[in-house]
Amino acid sequence: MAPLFRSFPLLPGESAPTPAESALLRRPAPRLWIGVAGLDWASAALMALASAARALTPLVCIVPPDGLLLEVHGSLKLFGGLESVKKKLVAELDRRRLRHHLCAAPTPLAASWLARAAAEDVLETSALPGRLSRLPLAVTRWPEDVLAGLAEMGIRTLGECIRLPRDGFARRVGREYLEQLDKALGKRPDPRVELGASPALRSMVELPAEITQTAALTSVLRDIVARLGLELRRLQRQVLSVELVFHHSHKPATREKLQLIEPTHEARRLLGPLTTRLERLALPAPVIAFGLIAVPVEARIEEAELFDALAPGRNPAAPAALVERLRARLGIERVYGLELVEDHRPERVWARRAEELFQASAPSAPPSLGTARPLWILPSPVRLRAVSAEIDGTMPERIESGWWDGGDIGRDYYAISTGRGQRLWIYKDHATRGWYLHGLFG
Amino acid sequence: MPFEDLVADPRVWRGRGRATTDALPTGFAALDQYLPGGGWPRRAITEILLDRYGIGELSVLMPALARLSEHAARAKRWIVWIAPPYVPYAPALQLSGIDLRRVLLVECAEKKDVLWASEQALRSGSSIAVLAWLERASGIALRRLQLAAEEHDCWAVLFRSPRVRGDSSPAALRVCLTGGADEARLEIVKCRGKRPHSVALELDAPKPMRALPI
Repeated sequence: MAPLFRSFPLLPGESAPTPAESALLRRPAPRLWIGVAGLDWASAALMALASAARALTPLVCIVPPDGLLLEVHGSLKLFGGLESVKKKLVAELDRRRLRHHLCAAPTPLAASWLARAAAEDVLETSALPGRLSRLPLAVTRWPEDVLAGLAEMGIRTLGECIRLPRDGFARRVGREYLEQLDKALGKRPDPRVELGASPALRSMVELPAEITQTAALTSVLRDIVARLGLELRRLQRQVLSVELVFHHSHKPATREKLQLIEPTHEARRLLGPLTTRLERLALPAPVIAFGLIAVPVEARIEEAELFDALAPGRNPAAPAALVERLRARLGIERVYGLELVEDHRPERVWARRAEELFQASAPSAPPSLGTARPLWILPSPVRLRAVSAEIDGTMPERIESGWWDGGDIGRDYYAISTGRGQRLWIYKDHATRGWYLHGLFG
Repeated sequence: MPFEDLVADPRVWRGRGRATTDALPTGFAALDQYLPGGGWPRRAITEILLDRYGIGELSVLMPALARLSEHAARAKRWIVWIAPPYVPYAPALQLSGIDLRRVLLVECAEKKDVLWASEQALRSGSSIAVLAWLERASGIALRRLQLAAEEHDCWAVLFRSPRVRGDSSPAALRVCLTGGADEARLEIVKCRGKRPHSVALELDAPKPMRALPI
């Protein structure tokens, strides 16, 4: 059988796994999920069912609107195998007269999808591509327009989706759906949140009076975040995002979500960015109750703190905390790093680096540079009116590139200095015969 | 509290004979000899006054930044650029010896954000150098930055207009950079512990050819 899954390098802009996700990926813990589909959630038996399921495994999560997921790998030995675990689960479901389908698979998404199709268990990750391929796309519950768009292309099964070129799929259907496919196939980590047993992770404070100014909420926020920090430490969990919720008397609640770039369990890491968000938030109506929802990820707190003590006075999380603090006030897109890209076009040889600011990737060698490059680059070249004829007769640096992707350039670059001491990087465009300013030597 | 700790506090001004300023060699021997300790003041503000860009304002910092970049990579600290007038060009930074992974760029839509971001970067303790293009700042605000730089072991470089030359400043070093046809001229306007001086710098860039003003 021909391989169903082809691996491609990450596309530009395709988000690589975050550090937290990579950590989860590296962890070799085998997983086996049981997906339950087709439940009638209107039933009052939901919470009872969830707690009954928690008797089988600590990791139970809800898949809205009608599913449940249980991670059972750790429980197999205890209960004497998968069939026995499933039998216990079926007994609970039957007792509550819930219609259902069950299916086990190594990734949570695959388990859900297979359960919706009432398919058979898949126990090996290597078998996932083949078994998922046969499923109709409807099991993904992707939005109607996405499914309709795929149907127009003649794509009706997951297998046909998987076989599409990745870049085309990401462009025409959406990157998030490509990521879902990767998660289902176990190519990308899919950390799940267990059904919350801890009330402190969802904390709500009724305010004594209606509050119109967010400044009045800062002390409440500080208390809540401090409690959250304690609770996370107790649970040995971390959070990647925190949501502030403001309840109004006659309007739907206002929500403000903070996304972190690295998971944390520390209250002080959260408090700074959250306070900044709070200060900058415009409330649409007076607030009667205020709270916070933090969803812990499965990642455990690492035992790094022991070693941090060796470097007194320096918090190892501070580099990330600075980025988060700046982004909370200025916006995510205004705080970024730089990286080099394999390209000969001067404007495309660099890129902004928004993700993975802490990834210890080896510094890439600069693509062959003819001569010196200016330290300042203009976002886009500026047309110059006239340039002295004195330049003629000196050897420019000729850059011709990009003919293969339509962004072709042909330019002669010169380093010149003005009478006032500014040293500029200018070029003559072969096509337009015009002169442009592209950089300053700084 | 022992007396030594008390006087070592950066808020205590000791008059002459400050021994605490350690210096960061500039990479230009002609300049080092006029600076106390033989280099840029390591834990303090350096103010660079200039009236136009592209006259060597970055080249003059590059040898020192490259040296700090090595420390930054080991200690996982940032070299933060706050509100630069153009984008620093990644290939040129790398050629100058800067580790791109430690470079953090911060754009500010509003002027008041520049001062705020500078203070955040200095106070976080996770920046080894902060370069900020700061137009207006009160003496009090600058003093706060200076204290943060001393406390958190950070080299703060502020690029400002020569118009503020008459204003008082807590900066340990204040230089005025002017471009010339052949070389940049760096005038030491104020300098803790040494006399003002003026130095001509041969910048480490290819000798550009001459052209008429554009």
